[in-house]
Amino acid sequence: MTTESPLAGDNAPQTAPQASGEPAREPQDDDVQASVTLIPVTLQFCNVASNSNLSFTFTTAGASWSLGAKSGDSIGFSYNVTPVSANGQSCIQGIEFNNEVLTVRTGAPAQSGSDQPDNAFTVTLFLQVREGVDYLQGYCTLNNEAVVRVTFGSLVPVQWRNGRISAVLFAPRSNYRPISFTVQGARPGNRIEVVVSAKRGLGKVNWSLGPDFSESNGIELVSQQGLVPLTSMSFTDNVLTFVTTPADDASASGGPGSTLQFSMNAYITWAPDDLTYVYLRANCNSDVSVLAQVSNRQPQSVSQADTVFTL
Amino acid sequence: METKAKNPGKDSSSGGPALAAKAAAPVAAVPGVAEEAVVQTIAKERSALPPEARQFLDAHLLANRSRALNEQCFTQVHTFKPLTLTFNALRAHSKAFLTLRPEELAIWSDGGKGNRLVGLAVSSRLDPVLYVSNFLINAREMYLQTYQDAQEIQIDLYVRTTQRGIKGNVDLPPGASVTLRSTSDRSTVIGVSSFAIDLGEH
Repeated sequence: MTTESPLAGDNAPQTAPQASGEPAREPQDDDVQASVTLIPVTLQFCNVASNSNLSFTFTTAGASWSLGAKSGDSIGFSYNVTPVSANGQSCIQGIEFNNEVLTVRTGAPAQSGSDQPDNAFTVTLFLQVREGVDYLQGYCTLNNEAVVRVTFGSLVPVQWRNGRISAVLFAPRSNYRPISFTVQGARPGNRIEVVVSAKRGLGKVNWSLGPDFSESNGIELVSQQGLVPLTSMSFTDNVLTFVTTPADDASASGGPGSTLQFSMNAYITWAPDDLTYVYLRANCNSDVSVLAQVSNRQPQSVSQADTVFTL
Repeated sequence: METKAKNPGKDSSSGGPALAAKAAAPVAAVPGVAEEAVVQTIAKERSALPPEARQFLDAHLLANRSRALNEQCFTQVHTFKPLTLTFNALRAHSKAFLTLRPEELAIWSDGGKGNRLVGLAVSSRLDPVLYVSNFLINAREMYLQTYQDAQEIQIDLYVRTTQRGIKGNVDLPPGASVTLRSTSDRSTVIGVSSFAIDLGEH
């Protein structure tokens, strides 16, 4: 990114006095300010009301929403209907952002039979912060039921509800990324492996619990069907293995013939720091679909051959 | 990038609790393995590769030739020119793709700093909701994936450039069109086409 170099270690001692010494000078500097950091942000919305206006406003100087400066890597400002959302249909009518405000306008509910559409979607973009800014504050307008999980870089997601919002920002460790994936269409007793690897000779990549000593989110396994439909899950350097519950147990929760579904959030870490892409591969039946999202990249389905995910 | 720089000096002098010192110490990139060991393993693997494989090891850097240009625009250009794109009649389960040419010294932008009320906006003007299951806008690309017939999708943004005009390509489903409107020019294209539009002086 634009920015990684100025943040590196030797500059750190100089920046601290600057930030505390001349706070009054900073606001005028915006356009010529060279050292800004772009932090990838993922917002996961759920239970959003129809026909409403959601907004997120920052009141901290030096922190603003941004489109970023990258292209070609499935990254940037994106909107994705969550696969578990009702019928996979969109609920927004418009979305816009400028420096301080991100606004989402939701539309009229779809004419489907379901009484309570579970409006869920994710939005990704960047947060541009000036050097020395290590937190942000602001407020948001949401319906009371809505919850937004916001992930900055590889930090633990913060939960924002209607009212005041804040987040603590650390310069992100450059070689960690959160990754989330959803497994759908699995049958009872299936074995599903998700393998992460890097091009030989270019680097190494591992599954991880997140940056050490950083209050990271670790690993999270969730099911939208009530019980997590697994008999076992194992976690090694490169391979995550899941075995779904055998038929008789599964029918108790899902009914015969139904398919199983679960999601997982984990981290990957790699060396050297400048590695730009990794491979993911799903070893499973071809009727099982695995949809993965690395940090704020657009989700992509993982195939039975190596699938490229940029970092 | 930051954690590695944390250790010099400070930890040894503080003599604080062992845990605190440990937390500030440089952490290995892979838990339980020293970072040097990993780097050595990678180097060993690299040297074991056949020469032709080694030659193309960094091919991914060639695959994205706009990266440096994007950076240059982002840090050095401070001119923002408004542009409105209107996608018409996108049919269900289709995608629309629009890019700036890789050699253009121009990137899409939200308008940067300043108190512009509209930065980057995506909205549906005629349909009750945006009939897209996902969209993506980044420095040069724009991608919309519909799940239902969409009458009109409007995108307002800025082009970060000092160039007088920009060129790009579109890839639209049959029957769809996109209209680009700047302060001084307008262009409508269909199908797989290229476009050029004048953005006016500053």
